[in-house]
Amino acid sequence: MDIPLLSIIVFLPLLGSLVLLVLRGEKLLKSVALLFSLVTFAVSLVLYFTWTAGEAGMQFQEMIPWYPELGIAYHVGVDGVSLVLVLLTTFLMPLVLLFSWEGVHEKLKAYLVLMLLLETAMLGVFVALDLVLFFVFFEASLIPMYFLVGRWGGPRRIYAALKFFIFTAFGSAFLLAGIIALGFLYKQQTGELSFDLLKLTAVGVPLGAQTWLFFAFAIAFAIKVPVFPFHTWLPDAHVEAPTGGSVILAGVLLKMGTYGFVRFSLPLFPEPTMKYAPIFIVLAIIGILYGALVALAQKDLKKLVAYSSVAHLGFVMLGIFTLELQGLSGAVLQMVNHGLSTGALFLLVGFIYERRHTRMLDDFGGLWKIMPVFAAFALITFMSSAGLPGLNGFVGEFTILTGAMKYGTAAAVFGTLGIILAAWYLLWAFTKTFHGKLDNPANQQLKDLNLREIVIMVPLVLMFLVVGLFPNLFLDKINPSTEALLIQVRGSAAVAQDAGVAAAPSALVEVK
Amino acid sequence: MTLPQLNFLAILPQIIVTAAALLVLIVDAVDRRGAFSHRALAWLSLLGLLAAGAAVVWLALQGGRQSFQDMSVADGYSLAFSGVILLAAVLGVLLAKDTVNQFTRMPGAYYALLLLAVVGMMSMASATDLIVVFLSLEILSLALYVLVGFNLHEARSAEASLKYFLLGAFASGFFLYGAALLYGATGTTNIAQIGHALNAGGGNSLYLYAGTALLIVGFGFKIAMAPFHMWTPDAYQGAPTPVTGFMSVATKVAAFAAFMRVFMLALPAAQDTWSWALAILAAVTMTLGNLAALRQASLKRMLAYSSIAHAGYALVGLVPGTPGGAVAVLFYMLSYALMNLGAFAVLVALERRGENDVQRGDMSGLADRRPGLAAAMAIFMFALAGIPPFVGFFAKFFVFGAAAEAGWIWLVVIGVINSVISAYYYLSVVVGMYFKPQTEAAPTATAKGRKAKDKAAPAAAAPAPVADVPALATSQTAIRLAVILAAIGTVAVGIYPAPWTAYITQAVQSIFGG
Repeated sequence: MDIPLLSIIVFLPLLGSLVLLVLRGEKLLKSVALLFSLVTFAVSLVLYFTWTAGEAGMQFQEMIPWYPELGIAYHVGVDGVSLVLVLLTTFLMPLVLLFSWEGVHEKLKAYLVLMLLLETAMLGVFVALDLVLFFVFFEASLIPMYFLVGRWGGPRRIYAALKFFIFTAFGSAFLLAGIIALGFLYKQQTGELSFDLLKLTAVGVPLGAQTWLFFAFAIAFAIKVPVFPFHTWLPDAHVEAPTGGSVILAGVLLKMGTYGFVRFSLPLFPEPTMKYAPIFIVLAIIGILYGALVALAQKDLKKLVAYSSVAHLGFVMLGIFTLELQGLSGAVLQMVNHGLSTGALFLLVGFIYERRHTRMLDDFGGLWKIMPVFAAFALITFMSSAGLPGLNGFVGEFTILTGAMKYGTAAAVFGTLGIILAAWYLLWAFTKTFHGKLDNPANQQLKDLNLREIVIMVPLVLMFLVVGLFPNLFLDKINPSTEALLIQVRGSAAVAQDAGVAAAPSALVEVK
Repeated sequence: MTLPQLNFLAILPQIIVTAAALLVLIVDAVDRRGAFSHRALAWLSLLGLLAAGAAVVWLALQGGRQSFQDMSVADGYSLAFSGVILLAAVLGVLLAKDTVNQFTRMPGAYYALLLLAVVGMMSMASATDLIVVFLSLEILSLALYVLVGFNLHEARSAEASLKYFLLGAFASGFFLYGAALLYGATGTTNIAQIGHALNAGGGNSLYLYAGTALLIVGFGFKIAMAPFHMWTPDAYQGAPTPVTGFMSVATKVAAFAAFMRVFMLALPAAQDTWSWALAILAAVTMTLGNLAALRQASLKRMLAYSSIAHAGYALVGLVPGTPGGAVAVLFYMLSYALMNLGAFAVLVALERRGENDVQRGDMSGLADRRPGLAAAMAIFMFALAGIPPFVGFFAKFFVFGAAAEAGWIWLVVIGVINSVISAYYYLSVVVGMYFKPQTEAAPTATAKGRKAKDKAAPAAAAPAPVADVPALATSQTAIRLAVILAAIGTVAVGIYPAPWTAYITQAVQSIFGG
């Protein structure tokens, strides 16, 4: 252990936010914030390239005692699953800051400081291996988001911010009780108090306690994802949040929930995970269909994207709880895909909102004629979100559906229905916005994307293609870790059988 | 017969603070022409407290000592609690420094009483005999009864004082009755010896249980535990805000110190019973405090109910009766001192002349008017709500962990759900400060009301002949210092707890083992 690479990645944004506190001047503040986020991204690329592929375990581990009396340690590390989510986070943040370059003037310094604090909290969530440390980051991420929605949000921002906070905090309460109980159960077994995930999984949670602990964790994560019927906070938060907040909320924050399921629920509570998986499969399918149908009924473009998030995260949940290798790996990949696609969708909505100060579909139409560049980016993003082959969304959804097929045909059929619905509402929204006559006089003067906005979109579109065409760049890193996870859940024999066909779907895509 | 062994060094901190209190009184009495301002008295008090703090550190380095034939002790445990009490007192004096002459014409008496209350509190933490616990309880209570009624512009202050006194006198009676019953059961008032006698199977169990129940009432009153919390909102709201801040923290610290010592050392024989009783009371206290706090418009009243809730959380640490629980309670007291006094310091900074209350609406737009103060208040609110990475979270983690270890999972679940309820009202303060613009109409209207009230108030010491109602504090420096100290503590102790938790663990082990 030479350089604490993970700590550098996690705390660079925090350092940046402290630096910002003493600086003045809009331009300088924006540049410094962007610089810190870019450097963080660069360091995370170093992490990606020095990461040893093919290993399932945690790499780059660091461990420092924190509250030794309570057995709490600063223990961080990344496996394939964490790695791609860390990259997603560090990749999105500079784009969000670049977006805010023009849009945010009021209290700019506070906005940037909160964004960087949020980045530290999110990265901490994805690398923490101590349950208490995870909880600290998980909760700490609430504070900046709460301020971002409440301070820079739309008309109902106060309601939305409070609802977001209270919903999540309610779930976290159960998570905290569960974590405390886990630590002391471990003490009963070994005589040592610890909240270390690796130690806890090595010893195993007593069977009798697994069920209620599983549900205590599941409530917290299900609210965060959000799984139907805990999703009601999401549309409010998304609609009211400023664009930058929405991108981060959809792109990264929601993944904390699905990541929590993968990282903690699966290895710690294998028995109830298998036993109650059908419940989550059903909820996931309801989420997919419900999210899509409600999205179809929206008049507000941003709300439409918000409900599409509910549907897409339904796919992720479906993939996780198939407990098949394809399903789980696909779910992890789909977390990244959703971050990219939905992040891009919110950015597009943000572009048009900044110009017209409305997001109502009825106010638009025929925009293709005057904003061709915008329309082109929108088209490819909508296609990515709808799962067009060759783009990222397809790989994730296809892999998940392969897993679902192995789980049960019905799950796959309903999932596929969700994809059809997604194509429907996305194309419908695209048609209403870009096709038809340019009949609203207020739209006549709209300007196309400027250079800054193109610079924001290009990396995202490139990533659509990279993931779509070379999914193995990521799946190679994800697969060993997800396989190891499934072995922990289902026992080794069942998984080894699957491993042979693991690479099949992605290979199929590449041939295309 | 040998002379009783009076080891005065063991009560050196109490002696120093007593001397400081007397000195303050003398200076105030001699100084007829006002050569010394009330600020000099504040400095003198601070000096006395800091000297006592030095004595505490010195004694801690020396190791424990007994005194007065095992009636009082200076062990790691008592010294740790004394340290927290002194911290609260220092912050309390800083809050009063620039406001005291606004609500009283007797700053000398004010500081002397505050210091005497500190003496009582530290003695309570050091007491190893029920008689000394009772004496200390009376010393601190008498001083606080007067301090609560110190605001001469407020009829409510006098009312609060009377209420606090009447109910407090009752509670003292309960405590004394309980102590007498235990004496009847065991023939001794020494805490350790009571424990020995009861563990040896001696003592009438009726006396034991009746005595235990009465002691719970006595201590419960002081820590503001439901259902003995009725005095709290009125006393806290009526008292001058610096007093409220000080007493909400320091009284709890002292009472918990004695509460734990008595129950864990003298009454382990009845632990099965009192654990259950305290668990139920803790659950009721948390829930009641939080639910009532939700509805308060006055921030002082809200913090009063929140302090009831926090008494409940801390009580959770006492329920298992384990050394781990004692560590948790002690750490809770330290963190509560930082975050709660911090919150009160912000209230003092915002108070206006002729007003003894900050309303929730007054916080609107604070982030734009005074960004530093708003940021500090946000930190205190998040900490009180138990959101990491602030110290309040780890304090709760400690107490809930101790309870979970002993198998009180249902209590932990009630505790964490209560934390969520409390998040709502703490956050609503943040909402006001950051998300709501300053209301234009409201301040003028209330300002008029305030001015009218100023005129109506008889013998207003320094009626403000100014257009807008000025701040209560004549200078913000000391208050700002208190806010900064508390804010730094709230953040730093949470993130870097090692030295504190290590000392606390050692201190608790020195008397409870484990």
